[in-house]
Amino acid sequence: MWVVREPQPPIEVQIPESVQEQYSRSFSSESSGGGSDSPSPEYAGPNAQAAPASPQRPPTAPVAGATGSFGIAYQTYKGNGTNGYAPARPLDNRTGFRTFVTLAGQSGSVPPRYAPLRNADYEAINFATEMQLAGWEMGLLKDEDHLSIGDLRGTNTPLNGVDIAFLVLHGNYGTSFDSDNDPQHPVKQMYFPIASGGGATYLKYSEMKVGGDGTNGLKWLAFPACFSLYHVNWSSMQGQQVYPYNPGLHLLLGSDTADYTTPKLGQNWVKSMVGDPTATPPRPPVTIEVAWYAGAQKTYKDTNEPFDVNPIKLTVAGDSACQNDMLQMKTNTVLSGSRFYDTPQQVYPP
Amino acid sequence: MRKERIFVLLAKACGVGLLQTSLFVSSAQPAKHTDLDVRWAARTNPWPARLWAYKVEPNTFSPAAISNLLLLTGFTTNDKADYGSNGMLFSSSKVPGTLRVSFPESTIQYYVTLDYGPNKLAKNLPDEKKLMQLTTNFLSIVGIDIKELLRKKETDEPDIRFFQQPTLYFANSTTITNVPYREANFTRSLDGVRFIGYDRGGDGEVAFGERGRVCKIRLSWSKVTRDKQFRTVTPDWIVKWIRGGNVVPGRLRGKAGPVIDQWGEVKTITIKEAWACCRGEDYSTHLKPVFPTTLTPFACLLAKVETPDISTEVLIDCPIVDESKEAPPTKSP
Repeated sequence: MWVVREPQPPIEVQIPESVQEQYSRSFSSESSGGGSDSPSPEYAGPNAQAAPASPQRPPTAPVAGATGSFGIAYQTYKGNGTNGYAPARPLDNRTGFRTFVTLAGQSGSVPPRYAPLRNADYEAINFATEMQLAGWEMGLLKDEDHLSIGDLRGTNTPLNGVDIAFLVLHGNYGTSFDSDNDPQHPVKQMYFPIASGGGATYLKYSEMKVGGDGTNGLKWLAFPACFSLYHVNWSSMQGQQVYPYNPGLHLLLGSDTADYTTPKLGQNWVKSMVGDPTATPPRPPVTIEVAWYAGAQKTYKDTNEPFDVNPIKLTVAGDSACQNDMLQMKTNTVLSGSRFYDTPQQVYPP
Repeated sequence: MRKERIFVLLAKACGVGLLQTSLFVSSAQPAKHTDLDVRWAARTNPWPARLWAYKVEPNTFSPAAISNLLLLTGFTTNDKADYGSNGMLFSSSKVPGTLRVSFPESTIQYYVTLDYGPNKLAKNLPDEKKLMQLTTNFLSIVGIDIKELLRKKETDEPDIRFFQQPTLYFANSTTITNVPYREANFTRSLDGVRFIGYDRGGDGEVAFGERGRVCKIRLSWSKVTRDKQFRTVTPDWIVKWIRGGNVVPGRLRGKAGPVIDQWGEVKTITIKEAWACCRGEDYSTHLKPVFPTTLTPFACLLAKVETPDISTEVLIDCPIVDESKEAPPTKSP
């Protein structure tokens, strides 16, 4: 569902020693056998039935120009060359039968195939570079096989240890119900293939629990995978109170439709979020939500390409009190406990 | 002799900044593909016989336009931080938002954060008729002639597109819809040639909230004047360029498969659509242009390509004017 865009030369990213250490630890643990990181369709996921709790975090005064930590995680799905991956369809485990979820783009019994995401790395790295230019510190780097399915499941995901994260994966949505969370309350949800070596396994959205408590927990997650906020299935999940986030998450920024990996998507998002204090006159920052749309519009409008996916629509969901969160203020908004979902905004064609 | 002229043309085209978007072959010895089957299935006269190249300069926006913007946004001259020939910035503790006017970028940016929620919804938004009126009024006060806008093919009316983006709130098992503002988007056209790109001197959007009050402006409108008029190349010429390897395919448009950026494996090319467009400089990078710059139209071709293994579509950008054939202007600038 993703398309390769123009290649760009590699960009040097300064990786802090702390991250390098973490990275090497992660590498060595995976090299020793994978352990709990190995894909397991039997995994039922954490209990996602509890509604988001009311605000837990006391407000702190925002500080202009404050910075924090960010993380990037991505896979380019190149482990099988140009063949990509065609993981077995997700199992619907709680029905009492061995049934599989039907996915969009599926033809008969043939599972969907996901081609390499050739620009996923540039998209994430350019985001990182722009964040570093804005004074933010890289707190997490998980790429390719170093990003395991276990890294994305549950509350202990390393994503929850940074303020803002950028996650680039393939995505798809179910067209049949999945009762993994509760047989009495099946939902239609989204699925993300996670490659490991030559194989891949679907991560179920309901297995994710993004959003970190505390001042330095994850507040904002950009997840520009295809259909990461597909409105039909998002509504189904909300209706059954199946949430891929913790109450602490401020905003989840994603895509309602298929979209494209482009090297500048994350970079243009950051540019809009932080503005440009060195410009004359200085360019003021805009909210994280508004920047998501503006950055994507610039990215797609500048390409002048007739994309296969038409239209491309992005959207944002999150806590109602956080729509005006600003990155530079490192807003620590008092969460309202109520949720919002932007009607998807068309970013292509212009 | 003719071949040499083509290379001169390509080199000149690269020199005026087209390379940032296109894939002209810059090699002195491009690979030829004389047996390539190239079919032109698009219109045979996709652009006029003559097109202009333009001189681009900073837009300093008139004092009347600035004054009108202050009335629209509620700022006063006391709120101004002056940056001389670079522009001005308006901000105040009493007025929400920030108004930024950049002369070198030729941009006006105004943005207000709106504070809505499930218990506070927007009221009295302008309907589409009113929105059109507000938009044309806005264009007028910032000094843009509506004739400069891209026009709809079907009706020849200004192509002003309206959007709204409702937010859904989920609270106490109910869904509440709020439309915070309505927005108009527009694009520039230069003598019928579409201006493409974002914040590159030829596009904009303006949003109106409660009671038609402006809540967002993003305008990029550089000062453009006609410079030289040139004869345009014909489809036959472009076909020869393709066979000569002077023009190569652009990025893969399909969902999967290998990137096609050379004609090597390609057996058949069918040009399905062809149009002229132009693109200004990107001021968001650190490479600032030196004025005046030149804006030269180029051709976009949508083509189906077939190799022994696959059939897919590519985009081809290539020169459209023959800079060696300056034509006498048909109209005074």
